[in-house]
Amino acid sequence: MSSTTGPGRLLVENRQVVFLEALATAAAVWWLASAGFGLTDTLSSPPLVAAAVAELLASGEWVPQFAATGRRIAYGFAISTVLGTAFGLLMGLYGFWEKVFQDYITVGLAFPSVFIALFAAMAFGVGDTAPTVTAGIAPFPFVAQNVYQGVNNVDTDLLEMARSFEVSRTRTLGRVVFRSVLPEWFAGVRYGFAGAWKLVTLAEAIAAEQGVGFMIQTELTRLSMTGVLAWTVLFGAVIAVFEYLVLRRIEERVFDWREQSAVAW
Amino acid sequence: MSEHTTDDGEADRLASDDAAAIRVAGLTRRFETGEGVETVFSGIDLEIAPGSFVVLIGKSGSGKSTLLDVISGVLEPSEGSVEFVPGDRDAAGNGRNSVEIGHVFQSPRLLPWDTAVENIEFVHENDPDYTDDLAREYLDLVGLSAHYEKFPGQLSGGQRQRVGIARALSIDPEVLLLDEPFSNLDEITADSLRRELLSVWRELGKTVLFVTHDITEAVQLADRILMLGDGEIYADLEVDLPRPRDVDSAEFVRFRGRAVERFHSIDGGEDGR
Amino acid sequence: MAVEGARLRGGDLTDRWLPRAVGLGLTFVLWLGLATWFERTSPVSPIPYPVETLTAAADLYLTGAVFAHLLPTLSRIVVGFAGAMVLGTVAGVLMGTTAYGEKFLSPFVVLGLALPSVALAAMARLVWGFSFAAPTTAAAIAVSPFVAINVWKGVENLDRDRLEMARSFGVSNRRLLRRVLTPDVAPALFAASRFGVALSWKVVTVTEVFAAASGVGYRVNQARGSYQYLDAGAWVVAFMAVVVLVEYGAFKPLERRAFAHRDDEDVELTGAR
Ligand SMILES: Nc1ncnc2c1ncn2[C@@H]1O[C@H](COP(=O)(O)OP(=O)(O)O)[C@@H](O)[C@H]1O
Ligand SMILES: [Mg+2]
Repeated sequence: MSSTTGPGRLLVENRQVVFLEALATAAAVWWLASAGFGLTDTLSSPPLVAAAVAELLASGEWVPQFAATGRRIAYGFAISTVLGTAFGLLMGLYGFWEKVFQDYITVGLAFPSVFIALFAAMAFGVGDTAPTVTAGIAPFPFVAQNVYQGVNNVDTDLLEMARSFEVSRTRTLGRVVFRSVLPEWFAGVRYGFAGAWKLVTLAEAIAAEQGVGFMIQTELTRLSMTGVLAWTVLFGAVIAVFEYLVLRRIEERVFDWREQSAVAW
Repeated sequence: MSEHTTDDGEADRLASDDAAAIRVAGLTRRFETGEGVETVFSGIDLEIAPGSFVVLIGKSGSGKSTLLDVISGVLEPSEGSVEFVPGDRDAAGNGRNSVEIGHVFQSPRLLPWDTAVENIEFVHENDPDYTDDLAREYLDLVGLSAHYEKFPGQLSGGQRQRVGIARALSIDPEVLLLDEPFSNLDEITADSLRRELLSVWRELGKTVLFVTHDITEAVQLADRILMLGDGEIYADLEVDLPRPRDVDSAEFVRFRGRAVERFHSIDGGEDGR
Repeated sequence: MAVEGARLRGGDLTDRWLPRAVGLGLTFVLWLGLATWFERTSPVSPIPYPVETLTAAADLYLTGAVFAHLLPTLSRIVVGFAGAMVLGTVAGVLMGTTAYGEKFLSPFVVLGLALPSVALAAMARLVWGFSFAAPTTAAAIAVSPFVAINVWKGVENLDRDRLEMARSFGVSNRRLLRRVLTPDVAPALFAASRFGVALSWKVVTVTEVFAAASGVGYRVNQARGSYQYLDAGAWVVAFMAVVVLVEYGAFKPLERRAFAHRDDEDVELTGAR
C-alpha cells in the first residue's frame, strides 16, 4: 500500500513480496547448508521435499491419513470448545467457581500435554479415542481462560446503562455480555484449534495406526528427513488454507463492526 | 458566542402534562471501601418541579454522578427515598405505573457492535409499538439523518453523544437525567448540542436534571441551579434570566459572577484543595 | 435498603481457602473415579489410584531417584528457554522497530507457531540424534515465536506520549530506561517468559519422548512401554511438583509486582496463549 510505487519500494514495502523474499531466503539457506556441506541425508533439501510432496499428492496416499487426522481434530476441537466455554462462563459469572478453578487453569496451562497423550494412549489404546481425548482435554484451559477474561472484561458502564434503561437480564446477556465476550471467545477457540491439530498429531505419533502424526512417526523410524518434512509441509499447507479460507472469513463476518482487524499477520 | 434560538413558549412548556416531579427525601449514600466507610452525601431533601430544567453542579468528586445514579436507580440509596410523581398523562391511566427515566451518560455508552438504530432499539425491549422508524425519527431529531446504520466507531464524539441523547429521548421519558454529557466534546460541538437540548426540552417538555462542573453551562441552561459539596446541597439558585440567553449580555455575566462566588463559598472536592 | 458491600465477610478462610479446598477435593474425586472406572472395565488399569501415586512420587524424591531424569529435563528447559528469549527478543525488537523486519520475520513467526511439536521433535531427532541438543533446540525454536510476538507488541505499545513527556523534561537516557521503558515493556517481557517457560515444559517433554534417552518425558514413555502405569503416574506427579513450585513460588508473586500499577490487568498476555 505504498503511495509512491517504484520497483525498489515494492521490494521492501509490499507484504506479499517480502513474504516471498523470506521464503526464498529460508529455502536458499536450507539448500546451501544441505548441498554445500553434503548433508542431504540429514537435512534433505527443497527439491527432494517438493518431489516427495508431489508424489504424495499424485498417489492419493495423503487422503486417508488426512481424513483420519481431520476427523480427530474436529471431535477434539468440539470437546475443548464446549468444555472451555462452560468452564470459562462458570468462572466469569460466579466468584466462587472462579476461585475453585483458577488453580486448574494455572496448572492446566503449564501441564505438559505429552503426559495427557501418553495416558490417553494407555487408557484407550490405538484408534480414534486417544488423539480425540488428548485434543479435547489439553487445550481447554486456554479456551476457558479466554472466555473467563472476556466475561470479566465486559464493560460495566454498558451493564449500568442497560440497567438504567430497565433492559432485562436475558437481553443484557445476549446483546451486551455475549457480544463483548465474542472476540475473546473466538481467540480462545482459535487456540483450541491450534492445540487440536498439534495434539492430535502428537497423540497419533504415540498411539495410532493412521493419520498425519502416525506418518511422521513412521518416517522418523525410517530416518527419512524428506518424509518427515513432506508430511509436515503438506499438513501445514492444509491448515493454512483452512485458517485463511474458513476462520478468517468467519472472523471478518462476526467482527465487521470493528474498523479493522488487530492481527496483522 | 450568543444564542440564536427563538423561544417564547415557556408557559406552554411548564404546563406540559408529560413531565414528572421528583421528590427526594433524606437521601444518603455510603460506599464501603478498603479503608472504611465513605459517605458521599447525606440527608439530601429535594423537590423538583415537573417540566423544570435543573442543573446540579459540583466539583469533581463531590458526588454528582452518585446522586444521579441513586435517583435513576442504578445505585441503591443507603438511606432515604426517591419518588417520582407522574404527570397527568400517567394519572389518566394509560397503563403505565412507573415513571420512565432517560439517562444520558458522560461517555455515551453505546454498544459498539450495534448501529445507531440498533442502539436505540436495544432499550425498547417491552415496547410493542417500537419500529425502526421510531429510532430514525429520534435520530432525525438530533440531526443524524445521514447516519442511521453507522456503528459508534464510525461516528465522531459529538455524533455518538447525539445517539445517546436520541436513545434517552426515544423512550419518551418523563424525566431526563444527563451526567456531564458535553464535557468530553469540543466547545463548538458542545454549544450546538446545548442549544438542541434546549429546543428539544421546550418541544417535548421533560423534567431535566443535568449534571455539570461548568458554571457557564449551568447558567446558560438552568431554571434552577443546585450546588453539591461537602455531602450536601449548599446552594439552590433560581435562574430568572429570560431565554434565549446571551452569554455575553451584562445580566448573564452578572448572574454568572454571583454564581461563581457562591460556588466557591465552600471548600471541598478535588480542585478545592 | 441494601448497603452495597455489606455482605458478610468470613475472612480469608471462606473467601480463599474454601474454594481451593473444593478444587483439590474435586481433583481427588475425579481422579479416584477415573481410576476406579478403569479398574472395573479394563484388564490392566492404566490409571493408578491417587494415594498410591502420590506415595510413589514422594518415594522418588526421598530416594533421590527422581534426579536422574529430572535434572536432564530441567537443564534442557533452562538452556532452551534462554535460547528462545535471546532469539525471540532480537526478532521482536526488529519487528517492533523496523517495518521491513516486521514483514520479513512475520512468516517465520507464523510458521514457528504452527509447527506441530511432533514434527519438530522428529526433525530435531534426525538432525541431532539422541543428544542434549535435540530437545534444547526444539524448545528454543518452538518458544521463540511467542517471545517475539510479545516483545514486538511490547515495543509497539510503548507509550509515545510518556516518552515525549520524559524528553521534554530532559530526563536522562538511563533514567528513561529504568523509569519509563522498563516498566512499560516489563509486562510484555514477563508475559513472554511466563508463557515461554510453560511452553518449554511441554516441548522438552515431547521431544524427550522421541529423541532422548533420559529425562522425564523419556521415562514416562518408557514406563508406558513396559506397562508400569503406577510408575508413569508417579513420574508425572513428581514433575508437576516442580511446575507448581515454579508457577506459585516464582511467577505468581512476580506477576503481582509486574502488574501492580495496572488496574486493567492485561492478563491476556500472561499465559492465555
Ligand atoms: N463504586 C464506588 N465505590 C467507592 N467509592 C465510590 C464509588 N463511586 C464513587 N465513589 C466515591 O464517591 C465520591 C463521588 O464520586 P462521583 O459521584 O463520581 O463524583 P462526581 O461525579 O461529582 O465527580 C468520590 O469520592 C468517589 O471516590
Ligand atoms: Mg461524575
